[in-house]
Amino acid sequence: MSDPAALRLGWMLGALGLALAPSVPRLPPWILGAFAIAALWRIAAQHYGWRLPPRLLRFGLSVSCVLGVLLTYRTFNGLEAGGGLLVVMGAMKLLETRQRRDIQVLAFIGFFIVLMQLLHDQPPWSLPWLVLTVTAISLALLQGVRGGPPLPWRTASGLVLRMLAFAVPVALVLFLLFPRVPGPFWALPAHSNAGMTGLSDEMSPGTISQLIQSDEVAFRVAFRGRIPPPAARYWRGPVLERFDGWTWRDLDRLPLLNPRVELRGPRYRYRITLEAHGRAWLLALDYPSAWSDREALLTNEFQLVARKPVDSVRALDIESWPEAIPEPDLNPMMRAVNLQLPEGRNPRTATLARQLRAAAASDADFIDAALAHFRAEPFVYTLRPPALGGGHPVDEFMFRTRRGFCEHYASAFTMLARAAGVPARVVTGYQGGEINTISGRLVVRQSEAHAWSEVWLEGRGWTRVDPTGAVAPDRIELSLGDALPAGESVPGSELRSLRGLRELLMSWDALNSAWTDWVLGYGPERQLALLARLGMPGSDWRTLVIGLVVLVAGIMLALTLWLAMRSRTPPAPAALRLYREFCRRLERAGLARAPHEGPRDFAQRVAAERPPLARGVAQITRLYTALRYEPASADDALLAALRREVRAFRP
Amino acid sequence: MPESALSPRYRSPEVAAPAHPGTAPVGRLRAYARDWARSRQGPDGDPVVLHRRRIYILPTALGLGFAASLFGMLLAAMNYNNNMGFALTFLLAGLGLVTMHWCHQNLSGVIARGFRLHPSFAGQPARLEVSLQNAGRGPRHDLQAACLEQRSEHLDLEPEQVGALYLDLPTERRGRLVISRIGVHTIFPFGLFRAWAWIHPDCAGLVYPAPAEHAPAPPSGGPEDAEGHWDEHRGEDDFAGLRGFRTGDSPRRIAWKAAARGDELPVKQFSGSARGSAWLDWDSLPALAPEARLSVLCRWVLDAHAGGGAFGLRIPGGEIPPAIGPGQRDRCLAALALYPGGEGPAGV
Repeated sequence: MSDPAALRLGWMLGALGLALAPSVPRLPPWILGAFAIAALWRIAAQHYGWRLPPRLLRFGLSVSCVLGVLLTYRTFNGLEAGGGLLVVMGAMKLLETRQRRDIQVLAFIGFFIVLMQLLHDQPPWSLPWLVLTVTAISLALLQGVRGGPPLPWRTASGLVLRMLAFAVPVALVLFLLFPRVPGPFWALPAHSNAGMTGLSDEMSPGTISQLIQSDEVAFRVAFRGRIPPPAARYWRGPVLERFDGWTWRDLDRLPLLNPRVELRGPRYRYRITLEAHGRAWLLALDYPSAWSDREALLTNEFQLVARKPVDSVRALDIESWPEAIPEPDLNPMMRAVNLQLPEGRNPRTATLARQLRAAAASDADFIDAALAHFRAEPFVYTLRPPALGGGHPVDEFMFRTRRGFCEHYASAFTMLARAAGVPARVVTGYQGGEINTISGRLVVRQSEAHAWSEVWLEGRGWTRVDPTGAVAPDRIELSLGDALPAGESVPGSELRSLRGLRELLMSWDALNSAWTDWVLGYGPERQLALLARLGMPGSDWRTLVIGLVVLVAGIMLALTLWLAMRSRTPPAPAALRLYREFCRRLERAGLARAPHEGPRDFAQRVAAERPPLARGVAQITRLYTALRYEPASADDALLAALRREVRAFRP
Repeated sequence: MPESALSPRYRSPEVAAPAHPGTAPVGRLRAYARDWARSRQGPDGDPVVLHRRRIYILPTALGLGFAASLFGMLLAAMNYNNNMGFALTFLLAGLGLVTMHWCHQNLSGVIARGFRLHPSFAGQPARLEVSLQNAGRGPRHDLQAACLEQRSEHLDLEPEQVGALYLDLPTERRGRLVISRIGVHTIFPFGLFRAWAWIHPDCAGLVYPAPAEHAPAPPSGGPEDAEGHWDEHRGEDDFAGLRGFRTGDSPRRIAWKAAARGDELPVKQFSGSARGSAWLDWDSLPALAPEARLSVLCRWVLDAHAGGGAFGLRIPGGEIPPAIGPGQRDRCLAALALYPGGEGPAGV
């Protein structure tokens, strides 16, 4: 591989491979195949000296590849299709890579492949991967653009690393201080929600037990001060009010115009960092009273929602009052909505509800009786409930199967309450969370998704009732794993309960959490907080820009100084400088030394033309030649003598 | 002229430089920039230190493309509110900034010296030699010289190293080729920026007339008859050896028998002219136009020198007495090149 063209190609192929590696699982096999075949073809063409494919064939291949992308993704818009198109373009470019210019285009395609991967996913390893890949592509670009033969790889990587040593601080300054304009500017079809896990805005039997199969982190919470006890960790998500006998749906999300909440009890302040879930809602402990995102609002169901879907990590500071009394007075419309039941569905449950209500003295007593019913009857809390069928799923669950997960209990209980004339609704969200002992944060996973009921009671407002707690108290007090019957387990929990591995996983989670918080969650608020911490409170984007310019200019100045030091001509020896001064003085007197004239010839000429100067010139020339050409006799005394003579020399 | 010096277009050195139309606005702008640089810098001596202040730098087309890509990446990162996208964009932006300084410093402080234009014959390339010295402590890469649309190879210089760049300048007419400007370029490290310096050296070279291909035989000292005609056959007794074929050699002189044995066309050489000195005389070619005469005289000078005998040149306004040796040949050729009435100095 001593052929320069082959070396250039090899460097670039290696760099592109590194850029492409993390996207491999996501890309359709045929695109990967096309890229691999193009790369192999190009290598073989280089090795065996084949001619590159003719223009017509390349054109045909390009058209069919673009059509293939269109057929695979049904669009060119969006990250996935764009990424696929980019890889296909890279493959086609490989087939015609002949000149330096093609190598440059490949480098650009490589940078965009990196961007595509980063937009798709940002785990903590993506930062070192990013730096590594940019280094590799830069190296390949350096070798590819070079006019001469490729540099030895040590020299080349040394050069690129030195450049990066200055580029990384610039990048850091830009990252910290570049004013962030909140996007999006145009509506790109963002991430396809299919790839994301999270709550849904509807709930039917099986929705949540499916969700908890995922071990992914839903969000992390850093509490300031006290951490609420496990039984109080109810994270409120979508509130579902419309029931069709099978599925509960979110009715609408009207903003809460006048907060009718009586705040009391303990207050918790925390910062919640949500992973992207592609939907607009945020999660908060019951009942949020203040939050840092001005764009977010509280609905009349006390659900915190954002204006835009949470497509990337989002952090916000929230203040919650778990014991507050929301809506002491229920308006008639809300009451009607929360009493609505589909006609003729689940008649046995409705009958049971009426019986229980008739036997109870008040709504509160009825609630207790209903919960007692769940406790008394042989209900089983399980992840694997039998399938419910027919037109009366709640009846079937209540009187036949009696095995269910939280959504079955929440649905059945809410239905019971409504049938008994007590306004009730289903709340979905998360319950619980595990404290990471290393980061001190509460980690809430998808497996902690939960559904419960909320009933409205006179004098107490909306009151949370968790029927799952009646059947499986351990679910609320401890965790899901403790509540499940023997033989069932939460996915991923076996791994976490292994000794040693648990610490490792906690460290990994702590790293993830710090990464999410400090790198992915770094935004405009953090920027201003940073300035405030640096002693510039109350500053705005202008301060950021000034700081940015000053710091980048500083780094560039350091770079210039360093480079100038490297390219600076070493100073001339002192004797030479003195001799030049002597020549300058003679020149001013009209005796210029010709370029070809040696010092001795010059001295003779001067002596001939200006006899009065002869003695001084001879002396200076003698000292100078001794200092320059007789190293044995050159010493400081001689130099001092020369300096004296030159200073005294007045032609 | 280093036309492309101001060109924002990055031209791969593998592609031959196309001629630029001088009338386009871009061309005028370039010419203006060059004149400005000349008046700003003044004439240069030898050596020339390429100081920081005489190095110009502009992004190449690739660099502009890079900037556009960065802008696109920035928009994408903003649109998706993606911090890692920002990180990539900013890292590349930092790299771009560093590249600009690197490119500038790669050229800054280089010492250019020894500008030498070797003489050539009209129509053949004249070789310009430029020596570059790296007086600094760091290596320099991919230095390139440009002059009159021509570009040299690339040169790497280790610290304290001196290297030479060669440019083969096209010539069309005889005369004095004055090198008014030499560009020294670099696009190292990534081709995103082009840094260059203009040097205005005191450098000129001679372009001799093109030797005539079919010249009448040159007069020779010995076998010259009364009419000034030279009898080729008279000298054949003094066969001196064979030499390689040169354009313009008489087919009658080719040693056909020897040619059948090898690839080269051997030409018989005669030592006949050694007997006396030949006068190569302008007036002996009355039927020809001045330029054609100069061409023929040039051929005669070359042949006479190759023959080894003494020769002199007689042209209107000057006479070079007979002598031998390369010095004599060069003197004669220079006289032919500078003969007035011909076309003026080539390519300024």
